[in-house]
This record gives sequence, C-alpha cells and structure tokens, in this order.
Amino acid sequence: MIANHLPRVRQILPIAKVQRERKLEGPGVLTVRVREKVQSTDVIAEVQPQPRHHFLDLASALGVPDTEAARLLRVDLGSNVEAGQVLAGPAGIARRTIRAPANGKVLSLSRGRVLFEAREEAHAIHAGVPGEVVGSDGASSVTISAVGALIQGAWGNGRRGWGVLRDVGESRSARLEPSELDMILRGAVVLVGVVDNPKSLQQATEIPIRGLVCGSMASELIPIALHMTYPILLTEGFGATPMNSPSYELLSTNAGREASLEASLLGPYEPQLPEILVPLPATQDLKSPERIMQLQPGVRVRALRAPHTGAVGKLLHLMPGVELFPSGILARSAMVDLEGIGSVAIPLSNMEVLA
Amino acid sequence: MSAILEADTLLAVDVGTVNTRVSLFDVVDGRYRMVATGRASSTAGAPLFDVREGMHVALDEVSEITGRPFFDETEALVIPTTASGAGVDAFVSTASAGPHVRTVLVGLMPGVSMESARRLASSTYLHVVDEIGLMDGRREEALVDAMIAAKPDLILMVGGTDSGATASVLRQIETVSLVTSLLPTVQRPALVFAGNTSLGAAVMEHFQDTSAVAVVPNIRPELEHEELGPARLKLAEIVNQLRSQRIAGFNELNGWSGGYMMLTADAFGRVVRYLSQVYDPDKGVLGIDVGASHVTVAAAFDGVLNNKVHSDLGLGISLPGLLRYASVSDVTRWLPSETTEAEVRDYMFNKAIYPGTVPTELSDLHIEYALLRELVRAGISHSRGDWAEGAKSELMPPLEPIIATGGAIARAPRPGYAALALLDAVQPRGISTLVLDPYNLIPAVGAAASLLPMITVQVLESGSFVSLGTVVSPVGRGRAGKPVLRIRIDPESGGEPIEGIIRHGQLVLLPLRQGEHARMTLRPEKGIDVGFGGRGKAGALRVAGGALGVIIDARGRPIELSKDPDRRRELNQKWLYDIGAMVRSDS
Repeated sequence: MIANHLPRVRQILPIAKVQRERKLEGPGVLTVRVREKVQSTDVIAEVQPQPRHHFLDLASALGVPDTEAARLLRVDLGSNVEAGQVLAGPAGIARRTIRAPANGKVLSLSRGRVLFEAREEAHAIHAGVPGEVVGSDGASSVTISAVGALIQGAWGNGRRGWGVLRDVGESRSARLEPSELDMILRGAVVLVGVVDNPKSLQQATEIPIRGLVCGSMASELIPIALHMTYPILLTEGFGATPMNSPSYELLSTNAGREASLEASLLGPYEPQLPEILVPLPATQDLKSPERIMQLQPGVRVRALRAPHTGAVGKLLHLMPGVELFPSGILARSAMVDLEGIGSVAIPLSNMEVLA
Repeated sequence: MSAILEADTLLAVDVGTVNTRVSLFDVVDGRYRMVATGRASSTAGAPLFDVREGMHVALDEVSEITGRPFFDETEALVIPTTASGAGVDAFVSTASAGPHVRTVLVGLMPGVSMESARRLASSTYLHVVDEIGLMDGRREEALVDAMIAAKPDLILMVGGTDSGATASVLRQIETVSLVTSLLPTVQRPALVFAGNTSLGAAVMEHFQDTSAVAVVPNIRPELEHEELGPARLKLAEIVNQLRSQRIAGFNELNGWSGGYMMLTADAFGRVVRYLSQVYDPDKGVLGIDVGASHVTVAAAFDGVLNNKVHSDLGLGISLPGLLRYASVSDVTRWLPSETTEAEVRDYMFNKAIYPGTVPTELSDLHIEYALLRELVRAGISHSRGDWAEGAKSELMPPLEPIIATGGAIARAPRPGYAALALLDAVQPRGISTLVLDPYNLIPAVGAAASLLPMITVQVLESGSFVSLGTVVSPVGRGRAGKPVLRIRIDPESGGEPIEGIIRHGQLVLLPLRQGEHARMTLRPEKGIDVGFGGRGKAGALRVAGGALGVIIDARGRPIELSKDPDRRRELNQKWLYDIGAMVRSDS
C-alpha cells in the first residue's frame, strides 16, 4: 500500500550526482564556460557589489546656472572615471572644479546635478564544489554538476564554504566544547553532535575553522550563528538532539576528505536545502536524486518530532484509519521499526523519507 | 466574478504554505453541503515549486471518497459535470502560499497617506521592506540606494488627496523613476500608483521609458476618507502574477477559476464582512485564521471590514516572528506544566523547520496551544487599532460570532483546547459564540460567494462548521469566589431547567447540545455587565447549543494570571479540566 501523502524527502546518499546553480546577485562577469572542470576554490564569476550613488550639484558647486552645468562637464555620460578625476570645471575666477568621489561613472545630468555611480571592488564567486560547468546563461548564472556523498540538513546560517572534514567528538551526540577547538582544526569543517555553548562558536572564528556541521544547536545561539563568517549546518534542528545515524555514519567515514557546505537559510521558497557534499570520483553513470518519494513499506524514514526526534528506521506498514496519540491527536500513521527503539506508530506528517 | 451560475457541484482548492485543501460541495436536499474534503502537503515550495502535485494528491483523496473523477484523459478539469457524473459544475481557488512580496511604500505624510498605504499593505500578502515618506531623514541618494538594496517586487506609491499635493508627490515619483531606470529590466519591480488621481497621466509619463505602472484610484482621496478597495484588487492581481512567475501551476488554477483566483485572506475577509451584515448589527464578527506562514485577523462591524494579514506570524515558518511581539515567558505563562523557556524556544524554531508536523506528546500539545494563544493575541492587538468599533478600549467590543480556522485549531484533540485557547487569546466580553471551521471551508465559500451567492449561507448553516457553544463573559470587578451572576437555562426541548450561581474566577460548562436551543436568563450582580446594556442589567435570550454547551467564563477581563508560577500552572491545568480539554485519565 502507498500512502496518499507527499512526504518530505531528505537526501542522505553515499554517492549522488547533483547540480548546483550559482546566481550572481548583481552585475558581474562569468569567468568559466560550459564543459569546463572546476575545483571548489576556482573563481567562476566576479560580481560587482551594489554600487553607491551620489548626487553632485555641479551648478551650485561651480557657481553657475543649471543650464551652464552641462557645458562644464568634462567626462562623457556612462564612461568610467577614476577617483579624484575632474568631472566638471574649471569655472569662475577661482577655477573651481568637481572631482569624482570614487572610481565610477557619471550616469546622468539633470537640472545642474549629476548622478554619480561609485564602483566598488568586485568580489569573487567560487565554485564551492568541484565538478563540471554544465549550464550557463552567459551572464548571471552558472550550473555545476558534481558527484559525491550528499547529506541534506535542516537549518543553515546562510554561508557557504569548504574544507577538510574533521570528526571532533567521534560520536553523533558529542557536545562541542571550546577547549576542543585548537589550531589543528584550522581550515577544517568540524563535525560534532551538539552545540550549546556560545564560546564554542566564537572560538571557532578565531582558529578559524571553515565550517561546522552538527546535529543540533541551542536555539538561543541563532543570533550568534547568523553572525559567524563560516557556514553552520544543523542536520536535525534546535535543542540537543544527536545527529541522525545515517548522516553521522556517512560524514564520519568521510572524515579527512574535503567537504563543501551550503548552509542555506531556512525558507520554504529557498531553492535549496542546506547540504554537505563530500566530492567523490564518479564511478558510474549516476542519476540525480529523487525529489518525490512515496511512503511505502521498506523505505527508510526519520522521525521529526518527540518522542523519537531524529531516530531513523524502516517503514513497516501504513496503518489503516487514524491513530490516537498521547496528546489526543488523531493522525494517519505508519508503523516504523526505529533503530534501537523498536516498532512505533508515527504520524505520516511527522516523518520524512530518507533517499 | 460577476456572473451568477446555475451549478450543483463546486470544487474549491485552497493552496496554503503547508497544506493544499480540496473541498467538494454538492446540492443535497436543495441546499449546498460540503460532501468531501481532501488534504495534502503543499508543493508550492521546495523542491517542486509546482502546486499541481499537492493539488492532485488532495483531489485523489476526494475522488476516492466520492468515486467522482475530476480530470479527463488529457488531465484537464472536466467542467461542467458530465452525464456520467465526472467533473464539476464550478471551480474556485484561493491561495496564501508563495514567497513574500517584498514591497517598498513611497508616500508623503506619516499619519495620512503612509498610514493608509500601511493599512493597504497589511490587508494582503505584502512584506513591507522599506518606507519612504516626506519626513524621511535620508538623503536622496541614500533613498535610491536603499530602494535598490531592498530588492522590491513591488513599489506602492501613494500621496496627495485628490485636490491636494502635486509637487511633493512628483518628487517622490521622480526618485522611484530613477531607481527603476538604474535596475536591469528583469529586476524592475511592479509599480502601483494609488495617490492623487489628477497626477495619473504625469506618473505614467515618468515611467514610460522604464516600466509599466498601474494607476489605481487614490487610497486617500480626501484627508478624512480612505478607499482601499480598488487598490486592493490591483494588489491581489499583482500578488497572483508574482506567484505565477515563481511557482508552476498557479496559472492553471487561475484559468480553471475563470481568471478569478482569490487570495485566501480576501476570501476569508469577504465571509466575515458578509456575516457582519446578517448577524446582530450591534456586534462585530471576528475571524481568525492561524496558518503556518500568516495570521489573518478579520473584524467586521455592520459591513465595515478590517482585514489584516500578519505575514510575520504563523504556526510554522513564521513562528519565530512571534518573538518580535511577545517574549518566551508570555508563552510559558499559559502552560499547565513546568517547561523551560529554552524548551519552548527550541520548539518554536523546530516548528519553523518542520511546519507540517503535529504534536503527539501532551507536553508538546500544550506548548503548541500556548503559542497559538500568543499568536492570536499578537494578531489582534496589532489589528484592533484600525477596527471600526472598540479600537481604543482595553476590552474587546461585543462580538458575535468569533470564527476560527487554521491547522492547529482544526485538529484540536478535544473542542475544549480550541475553546480555551480562543477565550484566553481573544477574551471576549458579554455574550458571544465560538465557531470553528475545521475543514478550512471559509476561503472556499468566500471565493464562491459571487458565483453561487446561496452557498455561503447554506454551508455556514450546515454541520460543516462546529459551534463550540455560546460564551457568557461577565465583565466587572470581582473578588475570587464572590458571586457575579445567576443563570437559568430553559431548554426548548422541555427538559429540566438548569439554574446556578456563577462566582468570580469560575470557568463553567452548562450542557446544551449542538442543534438544541434554550432560553438563557442572566441576572448579573451589581457592577457586573453581561452585555444587556450596562452593569447589573439582567436579560434573557435564545441561545444555541454547541460542542461544549454554554460556556460561562467568569475569570474576569482582562484575565489576570498569578505571578506565582506554581499557582499559575495549577490554574491553567484546572481550566483545561473545567472546559473539558483534559480529563482525569490524561494526566
């Protein structure tokens, strides 16, 4: 029997082929082409940060009527100018001039004022994953195809990074203590069970580490986590729930390899879930992971709520009708054989399928 | 939708952030009835971004129940019903799902046009990311950079009464025009001008080289007159367009709905306004919809509706937004057992990650209903200032009925949970009725109202809505245990009358089953008002029964919770027992 229900699907795959799109947030230049091989550290684009604008009142600064200002302009509209370059003038006995406040360009002149766009230093966008460029619109987006172990998470702090994966606690429930963060972890992506100490997050910046993957984190640390410059990814959520066993096993067995973290922010309309990819050589013609899966006997599921939050098991069968739970809630449910716990009924809405 | 249809069957789809619901209505004994509903996880968000998958699963459920196929072999919806009974005669759809519409408000005076713009924005699914008014202290270039940085989907421009300001409005328009010219074509926001009507042509001229601008009637044509209706219609159209651009399937739903797919909040508000026109004109109607991403509070007084969508509140992805309005201790004060603030905070953020999950443990259920109370309280307190009645009073204006819907309310394991949460959150006064919409039918009947006018009243009067009961909430100073009210209930069925004295602090249920009616006589003590025209005034009225009978809430207004945590938890637990939410075997 298949449930008339669309479950959440979480990818925890020893090897998968994924495609990751990198979109430029502003004007920029792509530096890679389709079919080009890239490493995580490769620059795939240079993006111009949002420019700042300045109104420069030529007429009043030069002491001329509005109508005269255009005549005194020394640069062409739209052409690039350097900081300090004369934009207009000289005018008057004092031979007053107006100079460019920064590198940029004059966009327009109206009523004696110019609109000046200050150009900021472009910043590099890195591939973030090793793979092959398989798509591009030639202007603002690049799609990279990569192969590796894929572990999707539950929450991220909105950062991206990569580094060598290090299992610090050597247990899926280990707490990260500040004292464990020493220089040996410099540049590493740290794997740990639970984070509940703000000092651990801050200490990690000082080393610095390149990423933190943990099962769960105290929610009161969210404001700090959002300010950290390295990516933080939670596989379970908030509280003290250990990392689910398939994620931990896959990550810990890949310790020592490079891992790419996309700690995407939470949101139902965000294009991508938070995830870790441990790049591996492609051994076969791999398909992309399933996005829709059915709840049916034999599938691996993970419990999302108490009393078995994070526990993983195999769906035994879908239960007829609805099941009554201690809260008094009636819900369509399935019987699941949870590892280390045994057979329990779980509402369909409280489980996700592990691909 | 203006044409009135001759239709027996109606299919309604509501696409929410977490759930997609399908309801089938048919004519039974000459009246419209809801005959089947189906629910599935919404697929408007990741990973599919296509509402059709969720809708088909929900429709399959309805097909299984009714044996009625809805689609032909080409996957097209069959309209009208065929001789073999396939398809439906009419189709309506509503949606609240979709990313926030990032909106910049541009106007003139903070208390005039900007205030109206804010009200307009909050009546629908807009997320205001910046406001630029005449009193804005930022330099012009800073405003330009701020508007670009805000990445707006929509810029709503207002300002000037119809015979008022022109130059200052045009200066603001010039800034917006400059912003749009600086943005690449694909990033240009939708533009709506709802200010001084005489400037329509000039505004269009400003944007002729960059973007299309929708000019709609002024939302503040006169200083003392606000007219949000036409602008709201345009915004609904824009919200639908933006959703359709990002999520597949909305165009199809809109097509099946004859191009009139409604926003869920608009359909909800329409029903609340309608009810205020048919119920007691001296009382308002309050509608509360607690969804995963929004809390909608609709209050209507004699046809005057105030509809407010709180996009930063909800019992799912928007739940952490509650912390902007309330502290975690505001939530824990409603709990009947000891729970740490850290546990509640973790619960809130986990619910935001997994919004579709349900509480299976009793302690989780209590947290969920404590959160529900604070969500409703926050939603009401940030709406009441604009209500046509009782905006400035500490006490709620008289309300009849109070209708509530939303996932957590609908799945209350016992009606007492929903009733107590509503009483604690709304704290009604006088005489009222609590009604639940467990199948989330209000958006459906609201959307269908102009197509099939009879459906609204006939479905509302059917058993698809659950009346929790008539509530009597005496108001006035009292001491715990002191009598506040004598009550007598004479069932019309001729049974034994029920008589008693109600004391301050009590929460009492008196039996009167759903479908039964009785004459209720109330004799309040001096200084106590039960809604019969003043303190100490007695009266009688005909009341209807409900799932809980007649509820007497003599806990006072406002409810004052004990500062002693143990005592407070004891009382919360006692009230859960008193109202039948918990029974002795639960603990």
